Amino acid sequence: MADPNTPLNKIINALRVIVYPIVMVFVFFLFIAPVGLILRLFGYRPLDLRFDKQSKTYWNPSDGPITPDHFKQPD
Amino acid sequence: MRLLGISAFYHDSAAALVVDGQVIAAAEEERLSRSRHDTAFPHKAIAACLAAAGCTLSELDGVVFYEKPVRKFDRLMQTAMAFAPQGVALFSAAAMTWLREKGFLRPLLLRRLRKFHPQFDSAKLFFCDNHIAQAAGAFYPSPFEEAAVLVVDGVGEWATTTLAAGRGNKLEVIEQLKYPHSLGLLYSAFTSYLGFKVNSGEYKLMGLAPYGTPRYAALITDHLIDVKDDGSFHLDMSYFNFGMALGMTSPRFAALFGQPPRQPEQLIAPFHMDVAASIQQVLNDIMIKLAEHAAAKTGLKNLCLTGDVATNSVANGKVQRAMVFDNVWIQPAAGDAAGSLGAALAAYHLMHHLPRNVQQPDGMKGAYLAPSYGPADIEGRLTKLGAKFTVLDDKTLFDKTAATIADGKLIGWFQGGGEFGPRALGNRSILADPRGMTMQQTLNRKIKAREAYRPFAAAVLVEDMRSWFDVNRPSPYLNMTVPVQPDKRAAVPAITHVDGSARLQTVSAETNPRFHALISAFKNLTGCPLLVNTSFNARGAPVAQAPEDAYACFMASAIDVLVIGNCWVVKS
Repeated sequence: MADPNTPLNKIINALRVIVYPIVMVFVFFLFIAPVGLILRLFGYRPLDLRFDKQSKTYWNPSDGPITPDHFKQPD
Repeated sequence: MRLLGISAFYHDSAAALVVDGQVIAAAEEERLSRSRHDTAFPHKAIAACLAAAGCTLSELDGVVFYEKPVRKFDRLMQTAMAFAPQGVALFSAAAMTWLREKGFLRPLLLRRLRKFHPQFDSAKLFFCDNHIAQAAGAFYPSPFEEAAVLVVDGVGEWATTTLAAGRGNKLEVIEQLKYPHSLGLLYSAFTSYLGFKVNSGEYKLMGLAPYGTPRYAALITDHLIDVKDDGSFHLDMSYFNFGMALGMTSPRFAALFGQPPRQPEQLIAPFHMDVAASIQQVLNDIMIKLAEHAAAKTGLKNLCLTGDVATNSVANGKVQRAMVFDNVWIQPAAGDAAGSLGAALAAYHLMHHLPRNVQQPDGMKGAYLAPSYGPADIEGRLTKLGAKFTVLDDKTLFDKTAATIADGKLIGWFQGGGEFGPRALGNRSILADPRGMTMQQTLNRKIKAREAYRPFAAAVLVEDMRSWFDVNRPSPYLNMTVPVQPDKRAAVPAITHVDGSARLQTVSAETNPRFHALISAFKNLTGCPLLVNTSFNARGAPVAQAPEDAYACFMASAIDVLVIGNCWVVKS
């Protein structure tokens, strides 16, 4: 197994710390933000942010019974 | 059938082993790794569970992870899209974590598990929704054949509050409230606003609340949270930041209360006490409404409570005393730790459809589920450490310890298996005399190095609970705050909070005979059937697990005597 403390690995790790956040900022502004804004423009609400004093309840009904298949996948 | 449950990669990693539906062993990783709120894969906890059952990983029928990572990632993406173009910092930080580990959780878990057994079969790795795991962790070990179950916490994958019903080996989710509307996150937002650390400072807020007046409760319910008669609620997210930034509250939140957030080193003013009292009252009221709704919706007489919010002993006490349910049982490791236990139990009953055997007083074995150490092992370890100790017989040990406590000394008390969950329940405890006027301040200053106002818990003989506390049912897990009987408050100032309440552990001879024998010896000597019980740790350190941890804490602190098993350890 590669030694994580070699100079090369240290440089790679340092670059990751710098590069990853920059990549994430690009992903956010080039993909997440435009898609989110467009979806919201067309009425899609990713989160239910209603603050509706008139409604009687905020409860959401269950997704259904828990079956053995529930446990088989991470989604 | 043997199933291992795991919680990891958020806070309080843990592992629990269930054999034929019974909880055999469970441990939080932090107690073994000595890293507070350890989030890492629980290698040591798994090893401890396997050792307790005398089996290897390859002999297990399955390993169950306590959440569904893909659903959690979906929440991250939906939240980012909901608040964009705000939220870049939060998205960036969260996405980095996902890229590093959580996005590839299945292979990551398999790699870690294969360190225990290189041929571990990937078909034996399962996943359970977080709130289903938590609900299972509350219902299946409870003493009830049937019960309503409330899971109330920060957030699982999407759910923040879940109402379920358990009957026999069946568990049915009825309704849920979803992110970002969360009582746990609301309480944490106030924790942050009052200058305490989120995910650990909530206890400080709760301890501060009785010093204040709930003058801002109406302001909170008018602006921050809309609570319906059925206990459901939504937050007004314009006051909160946790969906779009790394902080908890927005500038609008501070403007509403007219004061900036308190800085951690800033003096606590009456304003902060009033804010703490206000959010605590709001929480209490909502929890009672949730309980009332749970009773109406299910028609059941018993309630199981769990989730991070169920570690709020004040709210728990209010729910109990509201008498909405005949019986209330609260999972002692409520939160992520019990998620590991619940994941295994859910798989046992809901995936394999195996029957349930209800146990009395419950299936948690007093929560003494972490590793224990035999007499020879303890003596060997103490000798290796160079400790000065003598071995006493049981009666001498209990009488001498009781007399030393009555003399105003502090005792480090280490017996049997460690506790599973955040609280010391008399096996890894620091014990003191509750009658001393200055004992609370002494403990806070000398041992805990924490705020002088914070109260200490009481461990009382179960047979004496009613004469000293206004309580109808045993509370063995230190998860309820109840009134001290008015005529007894002056007698036990070290455990009586400013509002006349105390956090209570009832101790029975059946569940913890040695702790019961010690308190009985103290009662024989003084007439007082209770002791101050606080966790065996210094500030910021996990509770002691091994004798070495206890000895290190003992030597570095003002604890006068350490009792490990039957060993009486002194400093010189």
